[in-house]
Amino acid sequence: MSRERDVRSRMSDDDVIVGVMADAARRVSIEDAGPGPTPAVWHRLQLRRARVSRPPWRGLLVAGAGVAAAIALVLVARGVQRGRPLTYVAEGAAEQDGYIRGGEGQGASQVRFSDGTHVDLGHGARVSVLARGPRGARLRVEEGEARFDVAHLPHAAWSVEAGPYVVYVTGTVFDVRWSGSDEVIEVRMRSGSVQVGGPLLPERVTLRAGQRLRARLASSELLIGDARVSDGEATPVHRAAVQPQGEARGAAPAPAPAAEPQPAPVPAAPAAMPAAPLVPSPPAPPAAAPAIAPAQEPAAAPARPASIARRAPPHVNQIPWAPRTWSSAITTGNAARVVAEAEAHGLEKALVEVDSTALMALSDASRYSGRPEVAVRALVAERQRFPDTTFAHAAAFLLGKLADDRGEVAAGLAWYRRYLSETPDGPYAAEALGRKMLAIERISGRDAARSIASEYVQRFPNGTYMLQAHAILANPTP
Amino acid sequence: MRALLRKMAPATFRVLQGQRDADSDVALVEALRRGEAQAELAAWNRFSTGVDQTLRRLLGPGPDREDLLQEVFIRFYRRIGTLREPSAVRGFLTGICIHVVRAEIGRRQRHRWLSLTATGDLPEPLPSTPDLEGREAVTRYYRMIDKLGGKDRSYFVARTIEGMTLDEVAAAHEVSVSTAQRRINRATKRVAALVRRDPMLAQFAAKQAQASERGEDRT
Repeated sequence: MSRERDVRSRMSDDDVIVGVMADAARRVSIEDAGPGPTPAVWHRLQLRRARVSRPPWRGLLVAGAGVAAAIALVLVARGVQRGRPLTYVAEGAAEQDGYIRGGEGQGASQVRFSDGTHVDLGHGARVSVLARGPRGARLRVEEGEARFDVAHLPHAAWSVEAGPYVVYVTGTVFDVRWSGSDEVIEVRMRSGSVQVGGPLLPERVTLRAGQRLRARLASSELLIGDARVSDGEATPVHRAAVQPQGEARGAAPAPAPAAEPQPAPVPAAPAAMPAAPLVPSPPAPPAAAPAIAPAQEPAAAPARPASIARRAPPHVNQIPWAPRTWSSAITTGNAARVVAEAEAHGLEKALVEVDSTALMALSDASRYSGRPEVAVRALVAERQRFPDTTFAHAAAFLLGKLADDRGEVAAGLAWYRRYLSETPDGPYAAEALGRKMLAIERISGRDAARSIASEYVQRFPNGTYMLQAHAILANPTP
Repeated sequence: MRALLRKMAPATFRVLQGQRDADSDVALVEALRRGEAQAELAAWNRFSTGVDQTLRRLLGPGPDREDLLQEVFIRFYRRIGTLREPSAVRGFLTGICIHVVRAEIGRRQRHRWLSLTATGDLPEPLPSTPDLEGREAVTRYYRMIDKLGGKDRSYFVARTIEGMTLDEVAAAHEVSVSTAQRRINRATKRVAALVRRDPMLAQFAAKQAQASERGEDRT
């Protein structure tokens, strides 16, 4: 009874009421908290950032909005005629349930827009028109193949979605094929250029006439190559860093020119920590798992078919030599241009001439463009020419990631160890430690990875590899 | 010890979480400022879960607000150059969350008259959690807090639910500590009065106070 009286008296205290309600609110928020945002949210954030770029003088814009609104009222009245969304007509194609389906017979199936743009549908292809505007439309290839001939008009704004990919178009001719069951997209350029964004592509990739992009989500395979070459001939111009081990290694590596920094032959590593190429060997950190000494030095450059190495990059003559602009070129989605520029100048020359920032930009651009072999060379050059810098440390992590991604787990592990020994609290520490944990698990089993998992949980309680770390700790021998 | 930390307000817990994270945060902020492409993803990996939870606490129960999470990070990447003390990056992010939520509350209030529901969101499906009473009370409590208006709500939630210190609240709102204190006191009085007038919330709060009393007795 006295307790109830006490509670009643406490309920007269504002802070108590607010305190208990705040506790309840926090409990509910903990109950609602899931595993955190999925990688898809990051991808959508990137798309949103690419679409929306607010100017820094936003305050002034707000102030001017009133004036603009008044002007807009006048213009809207005059522009109603011109501002009408495009219209379209489906010829030889059936419209059903919001889709336009290409005919199965001999006749051509086409969607013609009022600005002159037309879409030729392959047999059985399904396309939908998601939104129409005065200068373009948002289309989606639900299934099958379609050819887009977009009228080249000022301020044209067209985009084509296929699965999780988006093709941004101004004026051009290209084919898009999407298979929902296989999760494969293929974009073939006929003329002009487009930009493609989506999974496996951290930045938008620019495709030009004669190029082809093919991505298979299930196997994380990305191929950017010559549109005239069929899959069977398998001569890709670019192959992504996510390529599984072994696929790009059939041919001998291209001969390296003298100026190009190449990894020195390294004797078999005596300890768990192997010597890294091209840099003085640091003191080996304590071995976490003695059984996992990699058989060989981390590969400095993946093998590349000689025919590809000799292939001239597209549009080299049109590109000026401006390495200082490479960083900004990447942020505006021109990663492929950076690589082409370096190759036009001569990759070996570029690797010894450009500064540290440009080298990192080149490595980023190469990775985004599916040119891991160029990325590796840029990163190795970064470490050789600018040792003991932040970029050199970052290069160690990225070299590990590239090796890891092409299936060379032991080489990847060696680079992660090197990165963590050079900068234990660097910006990639969480990622490096997580990947190191997984690499050890793959090479030596869960028991060997336990100490790393424990360290990871302690150091990065909100880290990306938290679930894997807990799984290793909870179930040491699966 | 860990259980004790968990019982503490989130902001206090964060402070005690360790110096290691702070050191690593500094390196990450420096990488972001240098414009390293991978730093943005690293920042996302490190902070997005925490930001998501902060948004949940500031907004209350409801559907996932991916758009707000994205907005926080868009502002974060844009303004990272203005962060004076790199080790304070988590507080900086919380400040952005507060501003984003404040704008969202304002938007909701502006759009309420043409929305089907009070918040503009579709009704949340009933969760599978057993504590339906608590959930209903908390949802009701947040609706009540919304009546405070954008500014007072923001100060109040940051202090009481998010568990920020007075200094942190003042810094996040760019006002003096005394102004923050005044607003929080005013909001606390008003919210407490509103809770007492609401039979369901009054009963719930009394039960919670009683339970908390018992818990304290046990310890």
